[in-house]
Amino acid sequence: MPDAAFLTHLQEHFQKVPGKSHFREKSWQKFLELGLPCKSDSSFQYVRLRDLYSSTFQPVVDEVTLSKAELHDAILPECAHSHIVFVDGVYTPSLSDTSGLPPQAVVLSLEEAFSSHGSFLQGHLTRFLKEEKDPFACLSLSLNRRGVFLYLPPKIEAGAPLQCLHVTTGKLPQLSSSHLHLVLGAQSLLRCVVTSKQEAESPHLHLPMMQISLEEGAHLDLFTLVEGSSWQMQTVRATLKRDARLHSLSMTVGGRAARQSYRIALKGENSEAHLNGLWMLDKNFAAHTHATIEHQAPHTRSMQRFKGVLKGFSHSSFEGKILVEQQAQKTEAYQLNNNLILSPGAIAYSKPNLEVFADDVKASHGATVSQVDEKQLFYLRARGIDLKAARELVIAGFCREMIDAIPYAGLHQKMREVSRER
Amino acid sequence: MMLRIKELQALIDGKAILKGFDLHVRKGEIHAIMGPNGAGKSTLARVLSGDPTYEVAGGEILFEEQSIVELSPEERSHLGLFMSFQYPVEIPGIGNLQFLHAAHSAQCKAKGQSPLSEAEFDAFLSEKMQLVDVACGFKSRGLNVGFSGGEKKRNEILQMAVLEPKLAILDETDSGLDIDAMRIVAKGVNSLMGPDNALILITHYQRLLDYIRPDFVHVVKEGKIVASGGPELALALEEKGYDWL
Repeated sequence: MPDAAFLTHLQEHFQKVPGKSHFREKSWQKFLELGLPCKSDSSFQYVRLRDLYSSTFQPVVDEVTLSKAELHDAILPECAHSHIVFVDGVYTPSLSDTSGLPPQAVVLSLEEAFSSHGSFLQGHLTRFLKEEKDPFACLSLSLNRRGVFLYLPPKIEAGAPLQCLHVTTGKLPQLSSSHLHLVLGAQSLLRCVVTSKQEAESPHLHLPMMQISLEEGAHLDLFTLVEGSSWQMQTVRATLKRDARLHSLSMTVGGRAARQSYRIALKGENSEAHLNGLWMLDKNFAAHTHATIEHQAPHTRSMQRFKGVLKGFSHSSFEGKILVEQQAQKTEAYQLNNNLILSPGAIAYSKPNLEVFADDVKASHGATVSQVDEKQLFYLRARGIDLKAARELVIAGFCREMIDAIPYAGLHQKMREVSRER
Repeated sequence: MMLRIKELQALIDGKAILKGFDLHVRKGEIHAIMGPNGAGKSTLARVLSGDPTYEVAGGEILFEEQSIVELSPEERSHLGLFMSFQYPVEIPGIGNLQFLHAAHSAQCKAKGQSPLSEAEFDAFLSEKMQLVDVACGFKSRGLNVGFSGGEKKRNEILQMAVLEPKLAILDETDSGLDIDAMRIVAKGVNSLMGPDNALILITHYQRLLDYIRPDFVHVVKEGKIVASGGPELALALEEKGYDWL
């Protein structure tokens, strides 16, 4: 039974994590309680779990010798002095540079933050563990070695965006976990971009975790790019207070299986979350999106828009859930997933979902899976554009609204090129 | 002879729509094709432009004495054939300028000419836009996305102005247009017509023919031409209806 063997394998990893902490122990217990997901869990239904459970992963090596120069190309020009680097999941201050962030910003390793902001973090994480239902989120926390805590005090607006760069060094498949805890004070503003760099094309397993707390009127703009050939089980958990805004855009262009799990709690009135995503997949890549939005207060808004372009034998799944609690009157919640299938071997699954307990709500959801529209192709061809170019135009057009929303010039260009290649 | 259609038979989903259609068009001529709904007028436009959903089951289409039945839509366009769509297609994410430039460049390449640069094309397009009286906002908008019915039709005529075809087939370009929009469209079409071009106007109503004067009027019923004449035929039809024939 591969599940049991894999669990034992994970146990070995857990035991090798240096420096036991009470919290890590509790996360592991919660992981065991939830258990490894199986095919019958609807939120993992389409993930190739058997393939994952029959894999073995090396633990990360503690001492990695990387120089700043080696990372130079992976740092966005916009973030030359505002980046934090995780090497194999471990926050590495010597490779990071946060001098471009406002001087009031607090950037600490999680261990340091536990001593300076202990009661805040303890309360937050305890609540998190109590509510968490995703086993990989708990596993990520229990295996994490050195995470980052970033706090932006009230009314501070970070001019330069913050880049989080995940570097994977191992030549053999390895298991790593990273943790970023962002707290944005009232009316503060931060733009954040998450990218990765993989030294060797190996099917690693990476468990990135991002926890976000937005205080009243805070605004976070998040862009995530997932590429490479790893297994990735990403967790994003956010709570939004009154008038807070979260804008998230994620793009997946590779991955043995790249799963993104979002849970966004709109706790304060007039808070708003935009979750957008685009996956452009080829070969046997897989992308899975699982998004839950909890409307817990009146006048909250959420917009989810996910698009997929699938080629080769790639596959994707989308499961979105909007939960509107009884007190969350005047909520607006929208969810849409459109998929474009470019080859007979590609598959897209889509399952939008609404649970509404309030009675004065505007909500809609929808999903489409289709091939390139023949009518659109004919229109372009009738104007002299050949079939190949017409297909490229239609596909690039489908991706365009997402790609044009990327605020980083280099990544925008890169994604436009990927959309043309597809 | 610019276009020679002989005994053309066309099917969609196995159903015969054109049943032995004949038409000859010379340089400099304007032909109006009228007829009741379902007579096969739009099918003719589609088949001429090479819509792959229609099947040619018999007959011949010669464009400048070359058979085009086996040619792809893009090859027909490169030869100088143009169809204005009855229902122009919306394509999100493609800018109108980008589309028009791509189409113009494809024509240039097919003719062995080097395409215009983006800046050169922009200037060329601005000139053409005056012909069809469209605002410069047209350039940056998505291809037909969010366009009103009238704007879509004007965009079709703008494409015609950019591509400068030898033979244009306007498929019900007048339908859904108010009188002012129709005047603008007609003015644009007239300014593009010359002694070396030809035009086929497919229309349900006589109204358009007050603005674009045809040399010949043909009436189509059940997949073939049943009557041909001069502009007076259109007036008679307007008065007496199609059942009169």
